Amino acid sequence: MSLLIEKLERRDRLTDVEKAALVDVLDAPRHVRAQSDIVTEGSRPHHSTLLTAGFAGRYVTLADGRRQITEISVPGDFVDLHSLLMKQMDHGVVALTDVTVQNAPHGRLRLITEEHPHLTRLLWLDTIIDAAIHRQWIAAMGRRTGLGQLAHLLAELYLRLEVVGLARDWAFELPLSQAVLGDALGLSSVHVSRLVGDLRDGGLVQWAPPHVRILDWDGLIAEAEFDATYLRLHQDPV
Amino acid sequence: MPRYYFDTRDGRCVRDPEGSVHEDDAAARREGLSLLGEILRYQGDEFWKTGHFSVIVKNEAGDEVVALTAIAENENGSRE
Repeated sequence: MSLLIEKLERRDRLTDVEKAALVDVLDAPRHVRAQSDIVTEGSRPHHSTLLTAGFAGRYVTLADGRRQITEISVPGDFVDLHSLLMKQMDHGVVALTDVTVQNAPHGRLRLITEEHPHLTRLLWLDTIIDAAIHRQWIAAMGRRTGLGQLAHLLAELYLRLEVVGLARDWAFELPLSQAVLGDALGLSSVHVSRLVGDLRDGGLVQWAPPHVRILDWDGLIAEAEFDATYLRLHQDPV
Repeated sequence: MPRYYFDTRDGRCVRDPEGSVHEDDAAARREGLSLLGEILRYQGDEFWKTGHFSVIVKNEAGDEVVALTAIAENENGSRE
């Protein structure tokens, strides 16, 4: 919960009343094991889910069983705030590690939209940033090099984790296998393994799973052509 | 389904320690070709350092199923 507030407060101040409203919207924490679905593709959930610990992935499956992960969620992210309005899920959300989540029943979220317009705009902004992340991933997958894609993902995750206090001094934990990273990058795990080697050899990162340390941020974002604007990590009243 | 390993080689040889499962040798060959194309697409200048790039597909016994190689040649047959 506090992670969500920390993240929202990077963008605009919340009043105590708004913070209390966010706390009230959430059910008790529950645990979901790695590899299990948090939200099932095609389902009609009656609550949205806030991730409070671990990593989750939005994904779309293909007929042959492969999947494309379309966004990696980090603690403090709603994995499906859009299900409030989309109703039926056009994708699934899987726990990529063991995770802790809290349900936000749609009835209570709807009340927020009726009683707290400013908080509603901040939550709206959060779903807009999800869309911005998707845009950057599409551009990366369609047009960047494999190395650029991986560098972009690392830069993005570092900043998103830093906001919620899970990355600092250029280091963070990324307990995701190369197969999972491949599913997120649209690349084979063999290729990801080579790219990790390239980033290491280039002196850009130290990577001893799950520990990642960025050794050369400027070099990494140059390789990635990374511009953090889309993460909207600055104070600007909504 | 049997497990296959996809080592890659240009200037350096990168072993595939985990491998992946595929229906049979034919499916593993298809995967190897797809991998060659995927990695080659992004090789850029890296490829021209050696002028060749290979994907070596091995089965669980370590026997080579197929080796796929892309090679740069000019009219004289010499490498850059």
